[in-house]
Amino acid sequence: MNKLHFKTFLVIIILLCIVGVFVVIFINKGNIFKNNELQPLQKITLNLNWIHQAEFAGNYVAREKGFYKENGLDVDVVSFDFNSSVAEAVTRGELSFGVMGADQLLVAREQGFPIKAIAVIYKTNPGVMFSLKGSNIFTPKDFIGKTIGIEKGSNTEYLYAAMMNKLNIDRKLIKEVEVGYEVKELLAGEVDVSTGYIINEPNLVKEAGQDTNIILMSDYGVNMYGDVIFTTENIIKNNPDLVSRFLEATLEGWQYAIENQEEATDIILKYAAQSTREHEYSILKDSIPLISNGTSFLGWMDKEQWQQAYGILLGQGILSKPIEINDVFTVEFLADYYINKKR
Amino acid sequence: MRLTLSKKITITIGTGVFVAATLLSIVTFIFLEQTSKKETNTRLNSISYLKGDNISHHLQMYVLETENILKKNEIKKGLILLLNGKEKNSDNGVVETIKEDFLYKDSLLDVSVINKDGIVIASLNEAEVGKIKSEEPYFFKANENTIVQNFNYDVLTKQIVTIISTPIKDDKGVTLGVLSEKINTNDINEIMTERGGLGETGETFLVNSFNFVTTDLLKEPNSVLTRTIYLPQINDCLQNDSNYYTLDDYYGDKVFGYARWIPEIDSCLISKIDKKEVMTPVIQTLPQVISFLLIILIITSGFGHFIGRSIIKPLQTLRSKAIKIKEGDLDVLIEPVSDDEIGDLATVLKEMLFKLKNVYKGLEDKVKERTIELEKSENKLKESLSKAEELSSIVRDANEPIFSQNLEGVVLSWNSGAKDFFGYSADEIIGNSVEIIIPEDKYYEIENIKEIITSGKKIDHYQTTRKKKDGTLVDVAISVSPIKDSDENITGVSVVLLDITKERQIDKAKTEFVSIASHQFRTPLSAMSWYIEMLLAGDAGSINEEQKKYLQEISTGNKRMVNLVDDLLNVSRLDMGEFVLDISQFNLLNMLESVLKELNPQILKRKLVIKQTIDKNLPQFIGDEKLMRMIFQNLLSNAVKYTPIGGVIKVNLSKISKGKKFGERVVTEDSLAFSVSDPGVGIPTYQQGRVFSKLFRADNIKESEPEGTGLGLYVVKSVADQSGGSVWFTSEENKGSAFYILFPITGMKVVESKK
Repeated sequence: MNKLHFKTFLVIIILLCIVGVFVVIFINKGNIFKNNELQPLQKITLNLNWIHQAEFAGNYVAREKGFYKENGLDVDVVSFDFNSSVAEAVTRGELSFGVMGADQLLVAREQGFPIKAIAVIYKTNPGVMFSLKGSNIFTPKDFIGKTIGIEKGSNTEYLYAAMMNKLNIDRKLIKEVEVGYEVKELLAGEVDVSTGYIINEPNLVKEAGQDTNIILMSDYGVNMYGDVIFTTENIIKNNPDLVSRFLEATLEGWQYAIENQEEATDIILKYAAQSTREHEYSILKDSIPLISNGTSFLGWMDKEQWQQAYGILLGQGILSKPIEINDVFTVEFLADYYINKKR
Repeated sequence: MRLTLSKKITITIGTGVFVAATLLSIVTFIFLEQTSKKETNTRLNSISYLKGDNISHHLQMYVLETENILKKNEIKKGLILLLNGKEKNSDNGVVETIKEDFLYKDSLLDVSVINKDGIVIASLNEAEVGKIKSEEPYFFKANENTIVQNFNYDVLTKQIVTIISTPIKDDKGVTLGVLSEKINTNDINEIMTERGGLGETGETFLVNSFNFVTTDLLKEPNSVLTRTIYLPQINDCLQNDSNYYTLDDYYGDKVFGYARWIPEIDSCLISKIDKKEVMTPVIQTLPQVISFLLIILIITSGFGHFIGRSIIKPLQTLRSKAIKIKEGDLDVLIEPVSDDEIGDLATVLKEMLFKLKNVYKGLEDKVKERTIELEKSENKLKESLSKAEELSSIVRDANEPIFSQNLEGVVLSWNSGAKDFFGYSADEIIGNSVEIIIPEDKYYEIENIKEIITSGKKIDHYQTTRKKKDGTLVDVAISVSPIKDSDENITGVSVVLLDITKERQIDKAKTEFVSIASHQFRTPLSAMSWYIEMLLAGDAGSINEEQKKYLQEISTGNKRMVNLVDDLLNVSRLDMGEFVLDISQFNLLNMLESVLKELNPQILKRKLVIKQTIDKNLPQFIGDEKLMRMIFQNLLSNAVKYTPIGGVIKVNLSKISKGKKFGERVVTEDSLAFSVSDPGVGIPTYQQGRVFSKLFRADNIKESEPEGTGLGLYVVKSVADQSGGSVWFTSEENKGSAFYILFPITGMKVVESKK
């Protein structure tokens, strides 16, 4: 047994360990550089079609949880300014995305805005007809002879019209009045049924201590996609990578919000500062079944649904021109995303 | 660092067993891990299989039940009537009946009848009536066959339901509408959340084709249809329908798991359990394994130590004994230690010791022997040294001049006698040539001495002349003996000188006396001879036989006396230096014949054979006939005298040309050669140097031949030397002698101052 050899052996082992540690550190450093430091963030704008609220939870989460950043994006989430349409804002902007209803998008397309949906958030339209529990109104057929409160300017108005049309119910047999968004007419008994959003008005009734019967209009063949995410054809054409990265982060944000609703609510409140936690939470909670019901991919769009939306708007005279449905939306980025995700 | 054998054994055994135990433990551990992994996987696999099967079976039952109900005539009839618009929409009779008849009515949430436009025309739930289901898969897919749509979510009721929808066909097989049943998913959920065999962390759940979780998760409440799972194995599971997939990582948790495709519900059944939980019992055995290893280590170390000790103990005994042996104690007792290699070693050691002892003893004896020998030789050496000292002192201090010289004549030693005699001190002469003490005309002697000595002979009493420091010449007799080195090589000679000046003078006086006496004797002896002859011849009257006999005796004695006197006269004539050659020409052959004739009586008497080799063509020889005859007589008579009876005497008389060999010598000029060889007694080596001395008679013949004067060879030598000839001999005692004589062919002539 040679002491010298043993010592040499030990020294070699120790040296190897040190070298190994350095190598590991170096490799890790390399990874850190690659992920964070080297790419400057791309500044883009996301124009919302409403004030900050839970409706856009996925976007906030993607921003706050760093999903946008991870994809090299610095997203400025801009709430609706009530001066110009979202379509205008997006087409005006340099690198802009927008959130608005499928109907709005179809209208904007007809108005000539070169925009395209890249994903749908609200697959099921939140549009409902709600009545107080005791009114025994269960189906649209029960509207006959009743007073219906219609929220003017909301897309529920023409959804209602489309539904009645579809169900062949003669609206002359129904008294239709204009109501606000505060459900006070329903609570006051001025109307038997009111249009509204499932994520909002029925909750207000509930808060007022009453139960509601809710008729989801999409159950009656008049579903129309709610919020969709869109951008300009120009960006889609020239900057598909940016679109992919934005979409990916947005969907991740939404999935995260769906899975972590409490945390998502906290994030929402950073934007919707004036709102209450409960309110935003309930919006989010109620939105989730409309966004993702587990029977299709998050954000996925079907041509039939776009067709249906177009049909409804055309039927209501909101749109008048024939349209190529395939120009309105694209699932190429969704497909890429899910194929990649599944890979 | 020095490790004792005991430690080495301990370490070796300890390490060996420990390593083996460690390996065993690792192998066992791995085996255990593998086993529990395998066991877990098998369990999970069978659970997922059973559950999947259970669900399929469950749904199958609903389907079968639905189809069975539809086969019932009254129900079918009622439904057809309803769909044909013959029944009132609001009449729930048929759907109520269906519910009543439905075997699993507890799970049945709703029954609806949908017409071919997709409009609900009858339902247990009134609110459903009138809804449009045309875009619902459970409607449009159920055109031909019963389908099951799982986990349908109803936004309003927030119910998650399984919908079984089956086409309602008339008797002709035309689809009139669809009967759909909403069945709660509690059953499936229960099946999936049943936790038997899943431990603490194990769970099973379903994931639909959009990656949504459709049954409750163990750790995440409210995740049904909200939580998505994108794991490679689940993606694979959802995309393929044939296999199951092994799951090992669930969002960072190491798990054992399976993803199994359940075609009936278009879902993937996930079964998984935390690896940690499964492995915990295995890992928990780790301290036990480690303590087991430690115990093994201790035991084996102890065991190794014990074995080491048991091996070492005899070795140590042997070692201590070996040390004793090393220290010289050969009387160590080596007992047999054990019956193994060490025992063998002990035996070998014992044998070795025994042999060592013997060797030692032998050595001692030898040393003793050698010591004695050494002492002896030392004594001898001392003796010989003292002897040598003695001898050398004898030589050194002898009155006789003794010195030594090398073969080239350089003086090497010089005794006090020599110093006194020659007047040279040792310092003066040593290292110089001996020529200093030799008169010039005798220089040749140096070469001669060398020649004689190197041929192995000695020079005894050679008479010559030497020169003293003061230049006076002295007559000396030198005796020269070889000095040999240890290899018997002759390196030089020792010379002993005898001052013979006095002897010479006495000799001279003697010779003169003899000469005078001889002359004086000769005349009366002749007269006596003459008168005896006359008496014998009867000239003075007759004599009787007795008188005659006496007279003959007197005559013989008188003749001998005359011969003696003649000899003496010859010698004195030679010695007196009155050497004169009476030159004449004569025939040597005749002379030889005549001499042999004279000797004939003795030759015949002794039965000798004379073998002559004679050159018949010899020319006439010019010389002193008388002297020559004397030479022949002397040599031949000696030969005859000393040759035993019947011996062969060889006589050679011939002419030898220059350069040819005669005997052992090379002849330097054309010569007459005469030689006589006899097989007689020979001359002792030690006396050969004095053969030609006057009155010399060899010891070995003095007794056998009391007669003889010792003058014959002296005369031969003297004549030869003084008349230009040379004579020499070879002889070996008891073998015989050969005498050679040479004269120049030109004849004899007086050689001056040879003396």
